[in-house]
Amino acid sequence: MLLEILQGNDSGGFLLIKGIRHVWVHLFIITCALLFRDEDVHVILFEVSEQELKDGLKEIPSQKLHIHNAYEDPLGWTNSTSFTAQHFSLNYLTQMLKLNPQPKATTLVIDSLSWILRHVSTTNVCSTLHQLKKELFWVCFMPICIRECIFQQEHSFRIDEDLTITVLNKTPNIESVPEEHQMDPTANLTFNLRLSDKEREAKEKLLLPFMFSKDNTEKLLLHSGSGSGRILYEPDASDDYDQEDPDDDLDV
Amino acid sequence: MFAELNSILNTFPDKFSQEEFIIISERRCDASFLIHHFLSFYLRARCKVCFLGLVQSFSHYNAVSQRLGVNLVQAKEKGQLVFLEGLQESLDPTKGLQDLFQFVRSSCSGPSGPLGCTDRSGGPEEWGPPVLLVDDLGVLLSLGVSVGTVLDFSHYCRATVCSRLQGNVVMLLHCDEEEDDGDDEGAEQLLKGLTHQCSLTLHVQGLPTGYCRDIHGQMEVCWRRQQADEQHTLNKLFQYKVHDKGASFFARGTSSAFL
Repeated sequence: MLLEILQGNDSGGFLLIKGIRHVWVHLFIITCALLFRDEDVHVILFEVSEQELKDGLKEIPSQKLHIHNAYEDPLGWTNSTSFTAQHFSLNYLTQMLKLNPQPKATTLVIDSLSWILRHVSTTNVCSTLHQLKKELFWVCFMPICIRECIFQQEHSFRIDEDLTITVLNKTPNIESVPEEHQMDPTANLTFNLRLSDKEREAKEKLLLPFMFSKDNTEKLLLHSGSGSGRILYEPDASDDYDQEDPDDDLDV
Repeated sequence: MFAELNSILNTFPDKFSQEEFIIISERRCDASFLIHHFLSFYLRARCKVCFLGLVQSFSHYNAVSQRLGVNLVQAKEKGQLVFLEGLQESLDPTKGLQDLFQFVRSSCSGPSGPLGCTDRSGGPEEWGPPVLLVDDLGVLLSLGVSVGTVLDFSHYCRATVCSRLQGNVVMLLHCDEEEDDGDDEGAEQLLKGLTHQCSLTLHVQGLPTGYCRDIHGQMEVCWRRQQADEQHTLNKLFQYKVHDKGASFFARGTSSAFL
């Protein structure tokens, strides 16, 4: 999917990016659209300041980039921005995006949808986005939590200093650690660890005294043995021994 | 101002980074010593400070600051400090926080002080970048302001103070998981939202094993640096002990009481 976007042979649609506030994600999308395709890019900023974005885009021609800054004043408290969360409606957006006369594929990047969802009802946002999709080419949203994923892919990519994007292999090349040559610990021993067949046979035949065998069991369990055990106890002179209550000291 | 904390955060009164949005979260403990630290730090750094004291009175902050070697009354007279005494103001939660933001905006971007105080050379004293300190945001939640509104407020503070005026914002938020009331869920939500916005978080919590005389809690420092070539998060964990006139920070298990 990422390669398709980079090469520009996709059919357009929604792209939802889930993640943390990360200026490079924006740059990535915008550079994709700018460098690899010849289209207008509209960015609505809620979470990142215009300056922060422009700092990262130094080397990119920005004629095709239209920034709608809602970062400074997203709710119209100070009357200093043109775009506020309340402006997120189909009418306003189509008007805003159709500034250039020739109809051309346009990408709309929204950073972030979470901001809009806090102030506009979800159904409104959904219907607006669906209607927008008919008119636009790509709509990109920024961080928002997605519960269900219909189509999910993981990509590794690298952005170089000159903002070229390299898609790395899908199977991330796990750094192949050269397998350490296992030393055989039994190599240089002064004694023999191995058994010959004869020795093994002798070993298996051997009956150890604690092992139960028929003889053994009978001897131990059936005959109580000649000497029965007795405990001989001679009380010490200082012992406090009570004949009537011999268990007095047990503290029960 | 705690020298040890300065070296951990790598900021010093004569050389500190701007456009920082710092969140202090406290759990099962009292992290107000950090608010006092930042208050005295920025006053010494000759910043213009706007303080929203919603938890304590001015005289309380003044008494603590004097121990740390900063005189708030003087700073107020000089116009360096603008103090909103939240205990004496009545904030109407139904109106939203727009008024509060307007107060912050005017006190951060306005001329240095309502008195127009002049120093010996005659001209008005020049102060550095503005700094907003809030102690603590949770009070707004308990006043009945919704989480979304508080997040809007903090966003506006960030956009204005950090981005436009190149200053810093420090906000404290108290969240306790032990409380069962609905308030608490709000604090957790708010913390998540704020963590998303901020550039540095200091998570302060009491020891999970309970009170200890030699270790008062632990502090997790999370940086979210946005550098030109990379963005990385860096976490460090310290334990701390608050002293009479400062605090000491040390790696886990290396309290001087044990070693």
